[in-house]
Amino acid sequence: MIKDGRNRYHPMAMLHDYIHLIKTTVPLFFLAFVLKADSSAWLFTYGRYILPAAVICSALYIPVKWYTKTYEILPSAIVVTSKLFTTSTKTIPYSKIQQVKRKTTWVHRLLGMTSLTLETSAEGRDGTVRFDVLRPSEASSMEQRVQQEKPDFERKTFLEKQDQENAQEDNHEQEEVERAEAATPVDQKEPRVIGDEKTIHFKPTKKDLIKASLASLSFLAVIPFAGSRLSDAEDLHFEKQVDGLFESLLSSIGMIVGALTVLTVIGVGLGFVRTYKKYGKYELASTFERIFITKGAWEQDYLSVRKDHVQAVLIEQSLMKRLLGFASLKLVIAGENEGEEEVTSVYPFFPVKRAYSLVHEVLPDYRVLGNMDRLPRRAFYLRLLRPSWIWVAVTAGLYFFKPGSFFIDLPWWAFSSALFVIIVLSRIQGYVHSRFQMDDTFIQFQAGGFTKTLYLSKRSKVIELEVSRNYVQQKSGLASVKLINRANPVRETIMNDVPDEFAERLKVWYTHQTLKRKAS
Amino acid sequence: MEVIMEPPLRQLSKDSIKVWIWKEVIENIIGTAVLIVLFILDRIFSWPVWAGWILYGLVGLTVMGMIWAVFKVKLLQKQWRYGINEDFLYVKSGALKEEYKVIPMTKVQSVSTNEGPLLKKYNLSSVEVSTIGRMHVIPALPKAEAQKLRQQIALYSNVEEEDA
Repeated sequence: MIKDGRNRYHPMAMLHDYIHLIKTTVPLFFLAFVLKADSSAWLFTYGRYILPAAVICSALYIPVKWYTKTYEILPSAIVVTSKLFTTSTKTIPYSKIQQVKRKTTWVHRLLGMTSLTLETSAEGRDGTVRFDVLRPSEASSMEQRVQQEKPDFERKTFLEKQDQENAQEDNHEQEEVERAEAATPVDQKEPRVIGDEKTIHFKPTKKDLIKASLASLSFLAVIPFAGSRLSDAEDLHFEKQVDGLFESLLSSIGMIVGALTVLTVIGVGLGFVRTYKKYGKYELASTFERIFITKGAWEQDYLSVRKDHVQAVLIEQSLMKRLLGFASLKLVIAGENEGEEEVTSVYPFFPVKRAYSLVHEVLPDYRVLGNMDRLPRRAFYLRLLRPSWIWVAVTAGLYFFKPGSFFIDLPWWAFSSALFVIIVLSRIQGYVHSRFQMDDTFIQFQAGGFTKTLYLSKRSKVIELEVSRNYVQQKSGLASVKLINRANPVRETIMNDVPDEFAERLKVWYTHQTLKRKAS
Repeated sequence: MEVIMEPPLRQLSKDSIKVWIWKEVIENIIGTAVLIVLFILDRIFSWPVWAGWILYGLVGLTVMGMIWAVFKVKLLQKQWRYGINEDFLYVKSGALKEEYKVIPMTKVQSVSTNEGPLLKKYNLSSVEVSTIGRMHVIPALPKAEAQKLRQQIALYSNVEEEDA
């Protein structure tokens, strides 16, 4: 203990660091001085000087680091200070610590010590405090300190989890005793039905699946094949004789049509099989607190998600889906198992209206708002006039390198113009698609060019808000807004060129929750 | 309905300009040194012509950067605002691109104060606020104010999140 409650780490931490240093560098030494001792490659020639120098520096740095790093246990937070070139003091409130990990390796056991890691939800080193070596008694008291701050329900889930763990086989390694305390209960394999019925919301019919297989476009895979057949046929018949041109043309057209029909049938068939394989026995169901998604005809894929872990809902429509009247429903989920994808697809081929109605059915907390506001007209001109860096880069590239024909023989500027048209079309659609709305609790954005995406979230699920205005936007009274949701780790949703008034309303909307909470 | 939110009011220390100028000077000295070395290498190894163009281009950019930096540091200091209450941290910054962030206290994971050599020289401190997956920096406050802010944020953020 130094003064006013600040502590240095246990001196054994230096030993830990030295062992770590030796562990990591011995293989390198072996490589440089034994295996490649004769090598005159520059890597090894210089490496033989740099490696010992680096090790000496690290070895000297370890005690300095130990001396300059201190921690302080406050009633409600832990403070870590390091004073070297840069003085930095970090405070982590106990309530933010999500995981307390204790790991005792054989070295620790030999010394009668243990290690403790305190993790918050923030990613990386920044949100983690590590005690590489400390006395088990200290570790226990620190763990207790952290847990005392936790409200009761979390302790309960913690105890529950422990009971479940005990009930399962105890497959903890003897060497490494790791104890994790997590805020989320373990994901059960079997759906837990607590008194309430499981409602089935959606099961695709045969007709749905056929339409879906058309929309999935997998039948188009036959086109390159058909194309090559087609050009073969042309060569064959046109060059043969000019006399029977009409006749051969007819026969070749007949052949082409025949071949195409056969291939299309095969393609559609294959597409159907693929779609059936994936969504054949698809089922979307839910109970009061969970959503269940079953996929796959032969191999079943089962997913269960807690409703309160849903951070946002996305309804996505690609160009093809818009033409066929389909929409894809996706959920942004956080707080489920580690390694979970940040966006989970519920089902990609709902009829549009069904997708919208399902949101409220599956997640009664959510509601799709009608009458969304559109962007002002000035936003349209601004978007059209905004330079497209992709187009500039591609055009410059085409101009300088003038690559040879890409299957089709056209001058370079034709591709540049085509790209230009596509970009303009995408921007026009982007303007038309852009809509926004919010009410007491919900926020709803729609955006996107060729692919249109509707984003739905609740105020309580938005973890940060950002409003930005670049120079042109400032002059034209527009703003870009960014909402951050938890995902894996976070997901940003950006809505560009909304009017200033909306941005201001959004700021008030976002901060309003506290006024309400205080009032109640 | 016309509603406008009060902008946050607290400013950075005036000395932040000096810190940033120092930083610019040091960075430019290093940058210029690198450029000189590159020019020497260009001479010695007679690099192709386009390498020379790129080098001249870099010189142009460096000079423009230096001129812009003079305006930039003043604008940065002038435009920076932050505000704090029990529930939110507000940060507003930038002139050409204006940014306004609202960070709920409940989502703050940790908060730290940092003083590098330059900040130490003027008795300043920066405050870094970590949330899940993001980091927000208030670059230069008087040291005492920064310490107080760190304690305040730690205190306000020390509540359980209602929603996971």
